[in-house]
Amino acid sequence: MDSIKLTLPTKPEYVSLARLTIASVANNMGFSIGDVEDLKVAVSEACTNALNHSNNPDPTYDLTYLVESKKLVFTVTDRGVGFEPEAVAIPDLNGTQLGGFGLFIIKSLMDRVEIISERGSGTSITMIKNLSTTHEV
Amino acid sequence: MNSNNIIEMGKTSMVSIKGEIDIYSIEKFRASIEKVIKTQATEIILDCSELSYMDSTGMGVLIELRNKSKEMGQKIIMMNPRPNIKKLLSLTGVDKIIEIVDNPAN
Repeated sequence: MDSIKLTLPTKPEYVSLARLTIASVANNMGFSIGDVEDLKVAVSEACTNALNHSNNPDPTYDLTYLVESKKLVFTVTDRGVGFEPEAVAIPDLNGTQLGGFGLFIIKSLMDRVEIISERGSGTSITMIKNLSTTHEV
Repeated sequence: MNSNNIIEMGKTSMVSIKGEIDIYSIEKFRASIEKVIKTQATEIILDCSELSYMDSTGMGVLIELRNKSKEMGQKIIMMNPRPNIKKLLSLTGVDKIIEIVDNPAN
């Protein structure tokens, strides 16, 4: 099992680097084009949350990719203020509640999502995408 | 994200959105569309043929812009979004409030 670690500055211009690296790792593993796109969105949403909502006093946050034989496990960890995942409101397109889309999208696109968040010490979101056995044409 | 290619055709303005819309490029995207909303255009077509990536940050701003343009009596239409973007528009329900068209010319 290979492990790749990346520490990114908490600056918006580096979120694209997370997408580039996950696309490269996922391509090497044999994920379909559609799954690679889903993985790019998921990692980007997690990084965006780490930048927007964590009030991270630390100038960096971490990404880890674990390459397993039939799945990609990746984690985005910030050292921000933390949050209560259950308290995230469901987005409402016609109202004023436009937040919460990121987590909703991550949960829709990934096979498994685990969030560990502690008030005052940060948030860690682990996402798992299984390598599909059916091949897209 | 590059969107300085604005073509006005009568009451329709066509804006070509290129590249990626994420947390980094979002303000540029917002500003370029707000500029069009301030014009007399009744229809704003976002040509997404060359838009390779967009996530929830872009979708949030799209909804804001749609609400703003609606108040001005304008309509925002997305043209030719790529399959990966279409999937997210459908997943979030944004395709229910913003018209999406496929131009067969592309």
